[in-house]
Amino acid sequence: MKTKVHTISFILNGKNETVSVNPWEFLIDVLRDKLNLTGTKKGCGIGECGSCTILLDGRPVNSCLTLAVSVDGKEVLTIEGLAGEGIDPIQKAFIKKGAVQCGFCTPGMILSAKALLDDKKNPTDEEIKRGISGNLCRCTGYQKIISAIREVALTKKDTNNNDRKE
Amino acid sequence: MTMKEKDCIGVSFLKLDAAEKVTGYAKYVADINRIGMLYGKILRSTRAHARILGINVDKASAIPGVRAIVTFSDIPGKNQIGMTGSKDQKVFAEDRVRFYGEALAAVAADSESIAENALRQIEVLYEDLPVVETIEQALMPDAPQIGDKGNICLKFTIKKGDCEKGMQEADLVLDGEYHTASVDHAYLEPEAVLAEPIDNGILIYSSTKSVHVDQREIARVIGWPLEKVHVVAANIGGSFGGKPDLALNTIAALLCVKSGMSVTIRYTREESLQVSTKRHPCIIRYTHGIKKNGTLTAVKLEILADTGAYIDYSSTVLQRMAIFGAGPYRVPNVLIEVKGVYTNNPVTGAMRGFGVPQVAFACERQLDRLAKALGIDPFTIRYINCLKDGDTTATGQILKGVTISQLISAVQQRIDEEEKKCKDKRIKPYEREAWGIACSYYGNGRTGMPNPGVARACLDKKGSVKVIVGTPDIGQGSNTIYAQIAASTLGVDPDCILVTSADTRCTPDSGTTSGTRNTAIVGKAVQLAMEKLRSLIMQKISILYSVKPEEIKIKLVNENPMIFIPDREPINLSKIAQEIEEDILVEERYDPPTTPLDENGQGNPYAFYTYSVQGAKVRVNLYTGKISVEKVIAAFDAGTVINPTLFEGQIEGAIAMGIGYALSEEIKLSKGIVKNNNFDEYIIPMSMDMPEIETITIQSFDPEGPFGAKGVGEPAVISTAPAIANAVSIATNKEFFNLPLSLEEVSNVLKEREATT
Repeated sequence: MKTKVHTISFILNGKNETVSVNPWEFLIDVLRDKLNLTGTKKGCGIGECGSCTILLDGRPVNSCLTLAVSVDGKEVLTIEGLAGEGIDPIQKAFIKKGAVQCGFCTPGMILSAKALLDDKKNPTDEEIKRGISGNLCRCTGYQKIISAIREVALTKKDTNNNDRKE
Repeated sequence: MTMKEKDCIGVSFLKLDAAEKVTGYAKYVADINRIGMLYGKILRSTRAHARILGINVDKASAIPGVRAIVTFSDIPGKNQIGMTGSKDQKVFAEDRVRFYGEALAAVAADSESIAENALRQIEVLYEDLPVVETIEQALMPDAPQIGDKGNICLKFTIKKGDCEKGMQEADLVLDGEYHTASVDHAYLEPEAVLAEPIDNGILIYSSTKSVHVDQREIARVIGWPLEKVHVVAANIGGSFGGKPDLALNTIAALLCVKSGMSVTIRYTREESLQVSTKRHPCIIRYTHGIKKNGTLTAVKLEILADTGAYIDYSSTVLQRMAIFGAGPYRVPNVLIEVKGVYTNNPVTGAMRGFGVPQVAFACERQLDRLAKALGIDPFTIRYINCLKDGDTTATGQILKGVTISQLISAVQQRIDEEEKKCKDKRIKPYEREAWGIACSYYGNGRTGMPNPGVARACLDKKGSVKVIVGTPDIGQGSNTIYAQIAASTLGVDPDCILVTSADTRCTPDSGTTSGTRNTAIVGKAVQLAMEKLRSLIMQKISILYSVKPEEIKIKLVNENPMIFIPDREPINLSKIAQEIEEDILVEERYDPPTTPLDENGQGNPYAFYTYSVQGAKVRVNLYTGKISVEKVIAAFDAGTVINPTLFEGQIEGAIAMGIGYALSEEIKLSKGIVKNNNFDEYIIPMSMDMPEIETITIQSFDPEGPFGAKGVGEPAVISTAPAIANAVSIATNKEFFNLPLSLEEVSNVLKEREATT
């Protein structure tokens, strides 16, 4: 059986990336096996646990359900690309608030949190819970994850208020 | 210059591995890739019980890209594995399979797809045998025999006083039969392993709670001496009593030895849920005797636990069920019998709580039913009967420092306050709300056997202070706790301590990360090792500078450990280390004082007990049977809390697991096949399911523990499900006897009420 190998180009963590993929390959396998970005985790393979969450054009998706060919021309952010000069405030809050235990759900959880906070500057606790409802965590009971996200929102709010004052 | 003696105990020091985890750089086993690495796949039995008449691998061997195939006949050592002494399990089945998914053969190939294709080309000839699906079937007179010595594989008894006499003294005798479901650890990281050849042997990267157990088991199977087999734990994506899969690790080692190449095997979630060990499903039959004044006179308990096809950890799990069978209560007459029963179901083993969650559910339901029958409230019956200072347990151990009464009172007070606050809140006419409570206690460490924590402490020539332990940090943060204990002992900042754990090449065997033993037992060894290191450093300095050791002080200056010697400028510890010119390395062990249980189950099985009381508020929809947990108030006495954030993290995570155990989690089996083998149907709590959790800790100090500390990882899970079940019973005025309280279970019980009223 001959199938056509596709060459796809997309923006990966802020840089142009070109890679050859088979039409049936999922994004998670391309990220992990071909591009060595192993921060994206495979926990279930059927889009239930959210460990493989990445941001596709800013929206959280399960990379285990996303065909690699479908990201051609789009923008992909994985956990490895989140930190800029220093680590992202969400990453910082996860460390500070004790939101990390085994850490396997953490990359996906953080990217879902980023999508939520990019969308809603000041989410309620209910909105935070809903925002991470696609990401399972077995260690923390979610409490410290929720408080980390809440803290980022509050800090941003304070900064915005200060900006206005200036 | 600011000077301070930093206190590292009771401080939420940041978890050592958090930074590499939030950035995605932490490597779990499946993240490790090697050039030219082979991919292993395991051929699994498609029968739960069958004779194996033949396995033919010829076609598979001929496939290009297949580098090695192994079956039982390729095992150079012994085809025998097990987490405990029983070792009744095989790496590969020989003449018979006893559970669905038992390994028959394995392939290592250039890619996963070649390996999968090769598996399909292996021919297996089965002769079907009748499948034993339940405990009841296993105990039928004509049942197929699964083990070599019948289907009852384990038996534990506890006898104290005269149970029959105690029942006669009672004014009320109450029976109850309870059933609990099989559940999975559901760690988010599926099992994985990487085995690679190294100069002097083989190196295994494992997702494991026990590198030294892995090492011994692998060495026996591949027939190599221990010193050629090395096991290192990568980052571990959750354990909760599960992991390693010994069959997986030994198979990877066999493929590596046969191919001479690096081999990785990574489970899918479906494979993990089918073949990993589970929490024992149980049939629990209680009889309690009680006086009109609410005093328990006797308890009789019979437990039948489904061990699945092999023993694994069942011997320790079932023994704990027996030990904690009377609950955290003062009962003068006790008769407990726990039996392990082989079936053709997935193997059951250790899972957070080691059998106590099942027993606590049934025992706490009994307490509430007894209270109701006597017309007293759930708090009162527990105040009357709970263990108090100087009381003896069911095993005859005299306890000191028991705080259950205080914990009940702390929870009761908070529930009363909450109730006042919510007085005017309206719920829908078809909903009911109620609080339920449950008490528990839990012994830290392994049961009545030596289980030393071993730790090394080192000041090397460059001035680094190191702690070296064999127990893996499974994600809960034990390495951070060790750093805090070490830092506090030495008088430095936890940032100054380098912790190395779980690598048989350089760490001592400190035992497994199980039985809530890391903080109390391994932590104590860390403290002892650091004390010894500190006194050796002082001795060396006293010789170098001609001062008395007691005149030397270690203090932190701007976060740097400095040595203060009278009439001298403070000297940096690393400078002293250079002057000492050699590594100072010490090793200490701490074995908790316990005694083995005698033939009546009497003895002192643990040196530490953690106490807990939880209150849960539920809302029940009477039409649908849907339960939501509204709030959990959880009170603990775990001695000194070394790191409050990590401590709360254990409790909150355990309560989530307890909610899953109470409401939604159940491994559904048919002919030994797991029907709900992924997270679409095996339902663990998600963020929206979680109530507010309030943690209360009682200030106490355990005289044995490091800085007075005890463990909390497992104790935290025990009381949640019983508190929820009791709340649901109160809310609906109906008794519940089975876990989980699924929609189906609850609506069935509610319908029974309609039928009978």
